Amino acid sequence: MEGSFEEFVAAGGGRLLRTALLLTCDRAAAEDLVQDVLERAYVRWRSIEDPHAYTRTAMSRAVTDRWRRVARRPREVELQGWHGRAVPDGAADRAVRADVVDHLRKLPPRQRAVIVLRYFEDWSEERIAEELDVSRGTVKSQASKGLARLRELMGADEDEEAMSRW
Amino acid sequence: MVNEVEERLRREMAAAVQGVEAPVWLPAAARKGGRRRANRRRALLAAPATAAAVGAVGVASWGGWLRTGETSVVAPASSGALAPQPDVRTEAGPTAGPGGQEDLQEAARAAVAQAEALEAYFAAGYDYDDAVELGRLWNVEPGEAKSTAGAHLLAGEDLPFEPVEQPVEQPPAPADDRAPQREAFFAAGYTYDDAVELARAWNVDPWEAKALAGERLLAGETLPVQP
Repeated sequence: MEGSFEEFVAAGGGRLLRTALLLTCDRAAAEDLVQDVLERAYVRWRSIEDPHAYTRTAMSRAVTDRWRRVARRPREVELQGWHGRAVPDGAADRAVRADVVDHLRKLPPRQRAVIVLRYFEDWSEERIAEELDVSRGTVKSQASKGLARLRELMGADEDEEAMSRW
Repeated sequence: MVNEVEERLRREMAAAVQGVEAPVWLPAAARKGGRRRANRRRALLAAPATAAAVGAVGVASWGGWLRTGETSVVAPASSGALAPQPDVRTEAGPTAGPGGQEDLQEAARAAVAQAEALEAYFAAGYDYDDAVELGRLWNVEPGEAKSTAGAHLLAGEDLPFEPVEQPVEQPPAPADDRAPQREAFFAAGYTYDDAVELARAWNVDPWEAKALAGERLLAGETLPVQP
């Protein structure tokens, strides 16, 4: 049975870290978050029905609680540096990709968590509500606010890009 | 417009973390830290007064997500039932004995299989847009399509179409130039908890503490905390 924990980490650790990166927008914080959650999962391993759900939900809650409790300033390091780096392809695509993730960083942690679970993990609203133990209405409103904010930021970018062409 | 934003988000988030892999030390470090936590929990349960304090501060409430109908092994302070009524499954971590093992093992196997399938799916170059198309072909949700497609790939089977080429090429993730220090930290027997303790002492975050501690260890110095 111990092997299954390690196999889970070996097989799913990368994906878990990617989710953590989007939740924290910080490589160092993401690694710490993943390790912390995995250690907790180890202790409860035998009672965890769905390790995927457990780890992702635990990370989402930890991120939300972390910022709420200590109002810690999110460090802005690697992720920002490389995901927004210019690449030799269509300028519009490049700008959009860089901006969208940068905008994601600007969302409040709770909205970001819902957005990441919904659009990176492909969880349904019902599942997010169930796993995070909140109402579906809360999930919908958080997702809606997050999307609205992102749309607003994207729109501002597009306006800026249009202006720069003049 | 909303759909456009949603689709863009999916693409951009996937692209932003593409190629990010977990550090090699993660499985061993997580297991070691988990064992330490499990031992600490057992020690708390063996000392009712201490356990009561633990229950009072609600350590057991962290996270949640236990299986339906189960409770944490650390009972609420008000229950007065802190002397161990050990649920071996929750108390002893992955190495201990059993109860309802077959279902749990099956669930664990399924989780591992799903993780492997997802890794295979993305490693083969498929992405969310492909999952949408596969889901349409197979009449399932994109999330399920990814797992199913990954299982097919692991079985050496071809999917209905080749991955659609990414419109952009991702720059590589930056190298972690302090990885040797952090590996030295874990190689010396320290755990994440130690990093937290050192971080507190040095007024830095745990990630920084791991690197600083690793530097000192590599320089032959000792740390204020023993592994």
